[in-house]
Amino acid sequence: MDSEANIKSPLVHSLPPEILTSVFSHLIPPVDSLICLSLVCRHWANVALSTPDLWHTIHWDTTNNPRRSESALHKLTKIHGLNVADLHILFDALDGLQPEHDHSSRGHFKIPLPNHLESILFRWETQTWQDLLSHLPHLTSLVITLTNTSRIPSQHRLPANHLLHLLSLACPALESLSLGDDIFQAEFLTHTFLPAPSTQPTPVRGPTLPLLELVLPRFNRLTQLRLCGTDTLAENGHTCCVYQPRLLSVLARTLGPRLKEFASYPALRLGHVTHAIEIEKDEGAWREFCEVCTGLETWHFGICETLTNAALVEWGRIKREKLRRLVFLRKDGGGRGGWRFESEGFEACLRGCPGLKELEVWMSTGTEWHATFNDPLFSTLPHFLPNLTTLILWDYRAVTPVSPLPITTLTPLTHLPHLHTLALSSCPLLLSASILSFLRSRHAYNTTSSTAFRLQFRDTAQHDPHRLQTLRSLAVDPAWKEWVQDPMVNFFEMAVEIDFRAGMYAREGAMGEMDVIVKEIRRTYGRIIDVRQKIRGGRGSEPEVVTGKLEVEFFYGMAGGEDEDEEEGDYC
Amino acid sequence: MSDPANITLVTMDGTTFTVPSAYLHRSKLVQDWLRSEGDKQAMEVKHVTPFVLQGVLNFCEIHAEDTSEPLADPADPTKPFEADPRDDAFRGMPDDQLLQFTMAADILQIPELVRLTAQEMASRIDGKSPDQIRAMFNPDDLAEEDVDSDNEMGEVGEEGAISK
Repeated sequence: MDSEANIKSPLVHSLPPEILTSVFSHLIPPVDSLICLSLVCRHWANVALSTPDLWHTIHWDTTNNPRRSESALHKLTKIHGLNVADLHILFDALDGLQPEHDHSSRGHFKIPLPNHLESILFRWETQTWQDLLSHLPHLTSLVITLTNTSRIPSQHRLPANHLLHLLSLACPALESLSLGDDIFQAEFLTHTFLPAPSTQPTPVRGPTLPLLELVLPRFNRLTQLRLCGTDTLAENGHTCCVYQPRLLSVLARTLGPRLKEFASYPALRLGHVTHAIEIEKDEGAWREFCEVCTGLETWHFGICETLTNAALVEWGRIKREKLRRLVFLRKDGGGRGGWRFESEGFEACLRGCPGLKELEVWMSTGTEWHATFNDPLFSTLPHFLPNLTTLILWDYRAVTPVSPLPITTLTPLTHLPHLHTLALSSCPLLLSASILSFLRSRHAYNTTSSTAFRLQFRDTAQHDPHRLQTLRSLAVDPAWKEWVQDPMVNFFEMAVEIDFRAGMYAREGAMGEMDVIVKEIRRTYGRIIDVRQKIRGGRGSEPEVVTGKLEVEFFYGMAGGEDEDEEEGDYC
Repeated sequence: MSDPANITLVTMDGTTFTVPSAYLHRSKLVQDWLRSEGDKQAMEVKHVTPFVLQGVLNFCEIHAEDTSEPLADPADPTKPFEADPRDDAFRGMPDDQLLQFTMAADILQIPELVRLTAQEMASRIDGKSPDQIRAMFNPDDLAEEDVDSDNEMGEVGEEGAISK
């Protein structure tokens, strides 16, 4: 039979157009692949370039694509623009400065040639962008992500206000606009939208508030708006500053109930820039926003610089049935004031979000509100948020752990049937027996690979008996061993990580202590548990710390029984 | 008249396969044939080799009792593709065989199999250069005039074609 397999194999260029269309439609991102595939043969080119449905989405990634110039995108939109609904531009200025895409002769090094303007891909020429956008009347989603834009001369940067003005006229069907889109991406609008050389004292980086007020009503369908690094210098931030309570009024009046998501992320390198709203300066604006914007699906409290019980109570006064994701992210420095809410305010806030699925609290500073997350609050979660799937209370600063969370038990969370992701850090009062008991309780819910449960738990306490207490327990407690080796427990992943910072590794006794834990875990569990150790140098006044993290992803089921178990057998 | 519970298929070289008709309830070609010419002894499946037809029938047998809605369009973006472990044999086959199965799925009009093979083809060619793709699928059979070698790494031209 095998010999027959190769009889009259069909030619690659003889596949019917509908089959090729089906193949091409599975490729992501489509445009990169389509342009490449159209070079295989004329037949493929004809299909790729003459099938409108394939051009619904354009991901224009300039990385390692020297030909992905602004003019090439312009030409593409002239031909296929009517079919384009989703345009995603990922632009790295350094890639545009590479003289040639030739890895064999030049390796992977990027060669910046700032004086060769002709090699720059995107010049942000107003006329080009005006033409480009005019060919995209049905555009519903636009994402522009840029990096290394500092190398672009100021005369080739497009003013933010101008772009928004052009967009509002040419693309009235826009539903989602994202400028930036990466919380750790610092320089995007800061440089790209700089209308004048950076030596001038009052640069405006993002769209101004009056402009937003003017153009947002033109987008009749806009529901999602993300801005990254947009703002003016705080010291000059008077009428231009976009982050002020009036922005909340603008969002309420222009987008109102159809606003599903508004996200704003700061430019990290500009500590003196404000990127948040001081609610107390105009509580009426906050009230108006809370009452009108009832269609929110995702909300980031990070932009609310000052958050109090009163503000959260105001938020929770209106039921937000559509809200699915709520994020609290409070960054270090750069802000004025702080968050001062307590359990009372937080409970009121959650009471207004009965359909919430994801609750994320990323902590780095502000001890007052950390104390809010305590046992009584945990006990209310099953009542307020019965559909919760993800709960994250995470201190994302590893160097200087924040004050601990006063949580002693996870028992209330056992009543959340849909929960599949739990991340906790800095909970020294939470004994590992409680964690293990909670993991056992998931037996009732997380019973297939598609409903696997993921736990991340990190000990940040630096003094005995709480230092690395979870990993110590894992190493010596027979109850952990019994659970890990239970044949009903199927692991996708089980790992521990010990992170030494700033000289802790060299401390007398520290090495031996950690070695005992690591050796015992390896001896007891063998290759079931992946053990990692990180050693990092310190900077300046960083304290010497050691943290331990446990990561588990598992589901309950009898391995080797059903089809699904067979599929996961390799992981066990 | 043939047995209505079974159907006999004849491949390009005359090899016959008799299988329960229910196996092929997702094949539009077979269903149309049963309605219009079901009284004939056997259905000819030209351009399909016995090896490929055997594989297609295996797929049909595996999925004979599936209760999911028939797929109208293999490229329907609203129906996300989910890998089925029962189809692993299709994902492991050589490139030229995959191409033959894709053609056979199209000839027999089985959207679910078209989607499976198309998705597998897409995953194999994704990220590869035109030369690598040509090398995967019968490079010797590719006519010279079908390759526009001057257009390597070209730009999008005025007509939407790729030009240097």
